[in-house]
Amino acid sequence: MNKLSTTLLSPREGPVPLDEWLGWSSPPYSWNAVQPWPHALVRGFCLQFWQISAAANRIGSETVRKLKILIVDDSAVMRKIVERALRQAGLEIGEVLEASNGAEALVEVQKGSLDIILSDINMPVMDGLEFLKSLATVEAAKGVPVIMITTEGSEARVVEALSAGAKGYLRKPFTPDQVKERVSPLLVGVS
Amino acid sequence: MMAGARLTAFVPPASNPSDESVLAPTSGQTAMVGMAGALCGMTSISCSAETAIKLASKMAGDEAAKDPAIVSDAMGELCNMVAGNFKAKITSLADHCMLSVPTVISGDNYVMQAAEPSEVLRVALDFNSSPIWVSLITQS
Repeated sequence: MNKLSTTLLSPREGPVPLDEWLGWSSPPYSWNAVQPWPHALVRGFCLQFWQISAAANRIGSETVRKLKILIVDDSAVMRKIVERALRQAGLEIGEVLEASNGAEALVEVQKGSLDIILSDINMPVMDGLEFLKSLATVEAAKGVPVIMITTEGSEARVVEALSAGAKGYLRKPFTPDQVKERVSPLLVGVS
Repeated sequence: MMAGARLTAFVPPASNPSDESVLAPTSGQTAMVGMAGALCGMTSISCSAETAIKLASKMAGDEAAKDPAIVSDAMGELCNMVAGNFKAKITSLADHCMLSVPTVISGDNYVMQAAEPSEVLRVALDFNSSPIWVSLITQS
């Protein structure tokens, strides 16, 4: 492709043998029908080809874009379990950020470009509900769905979390299927 | 429970069915989560150090389980889930009982004693042929 483009875009005038275009050292045949092409036409063709290729590459990379996820839990073991469950659920996980409390999570959120946040409720320093309320003031968190993870059966806390903007909740222990059931609908159009 | 294992009732070895070490753990790891409110008490999980490592390995992976802090963390989380689910199953407790953060004791020759008066319900479960004790201590 490089050689062909270079040849086509060279300022050379006059007929260009096909074998020279294709880089054949000894042509299997001669083709004298190749006439001098206007350079503008050739350059236009190459430019269009390049643009189409670039667009195709861009569409391809968007299709396989992997999810960037933030997991917030004071337990390192639970963070690993959540990440593993997400992968076992068949989600295309790319970068996984971790935070051990709401305050640390806010720092990560402000860096932007997250696709989803999964947060525990009971945590030291800043708990999940306070974190959720703080997210409302963070521009980078706009539109990022949050799922709360809890061990407790407290309906009041779940209702409070949903009122504060959580899109759903998971109760520990959970299975990869349950994770998929909660997370997948929130990622429609993301990847 | 998130450890990829199904637990069944532990049957003590026939050779020594009344062995005290089987009935009352005094070494290894014990994780505890306190309850306060409509029900006061504690949930605990105890097992040997080796079993705790196996549990942590199932939960967080073999590499992570080499770290004693991860092993304690795994035990604490297991206990937290047991206490949380127990609470969730009793409707009247859900919004009226608070759970503490987990505490984990590691070592040998220790005794866990609850304040009187209290009732203790303890079951031994089998995990890879090793016992795991789950206890519920309630105070009236």
